[in-house]
Amino acid sequence: MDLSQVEIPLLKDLTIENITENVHRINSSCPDPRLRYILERLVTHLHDFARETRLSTNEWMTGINFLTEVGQICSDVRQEFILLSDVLGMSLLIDSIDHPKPKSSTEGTVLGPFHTHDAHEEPNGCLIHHDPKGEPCLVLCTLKDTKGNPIEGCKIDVWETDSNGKYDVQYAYREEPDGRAVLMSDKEGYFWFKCIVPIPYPIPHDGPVGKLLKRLKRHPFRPSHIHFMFEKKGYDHLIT
Amino acid sequence: MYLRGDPYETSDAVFGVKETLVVSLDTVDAEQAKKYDTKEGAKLITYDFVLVTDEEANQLREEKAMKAMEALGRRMKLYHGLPVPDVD
Repeated sequence: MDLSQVEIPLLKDLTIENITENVHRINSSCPDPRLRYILERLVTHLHDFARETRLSTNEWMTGINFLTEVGQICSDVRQEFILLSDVLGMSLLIDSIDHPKPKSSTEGTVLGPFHTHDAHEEPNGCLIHHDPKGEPCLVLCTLKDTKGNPIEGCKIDVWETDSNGKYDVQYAYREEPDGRAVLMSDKEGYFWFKCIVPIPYPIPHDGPVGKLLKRLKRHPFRPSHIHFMFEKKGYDHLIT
Repeated sequence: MYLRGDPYETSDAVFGVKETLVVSLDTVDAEQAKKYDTKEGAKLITYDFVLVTDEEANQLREEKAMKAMEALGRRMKLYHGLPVPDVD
């Protein structure tokens, strides 16, 4: 970048009152209008947050240390940042904004941190969970468009916990995916599988997000559910 | 998809429950047991999913975005389907 071509504001004597507009000014040369707008709003809200709370240096460091811990506990099979986004309501909020659903269609919900990309493709009618202690359950579904026509050949990821309320990826000795499968809707838009009756389970709460929930006197439980994720070219991605 | 009557139905730690996604557990009848090779009396969940096309979703997303911006009193335009200030 040729600095002589950029209009640089005089960044001196910045105060509680004028710091925000000056950060905006130095960011305003960003050529991408969307990134420029996102940064402008992010800086505005961050600065207002500090001003409105009269945030102390100690508190800010506590926040930075917390986020550092959230990052450090992440691995291939643990995504603590998604969990943080989930418990702050951010995941649900963004899904609602980015995947608006007309009244006639199925509503979406949070993805959560336990979807994997290694589930096997299975035929309709397959048993997706091999936990002998789970209560057997048959799931029969139809898949249609908003005009009532069946949707054929849609890829459907399904995943659930075992009878202990744990996903396969939460076991250190996991060798093969279990409690998950990738199905395909048939030409009438049907798909079906056998699983176990889902049970409530706590989100992983042995890390920084769990500690936060405890401080807030919140429980870490999710009600019993089965996840579904639908993918077909030409259709909006749906996660339930 | 969530089960009706769950102790955490209305206090999900990650705010995911929607009434339209809550289902009751049914039981498999004799005919279904035969057709789907399972036991009569086993638990059953049925659900009819409806997908929207990309076109329908994009249109609705853009409509809602512009409406929200208007409500905030911002003059905006769409850039790759997402709002940015309309400075021209």
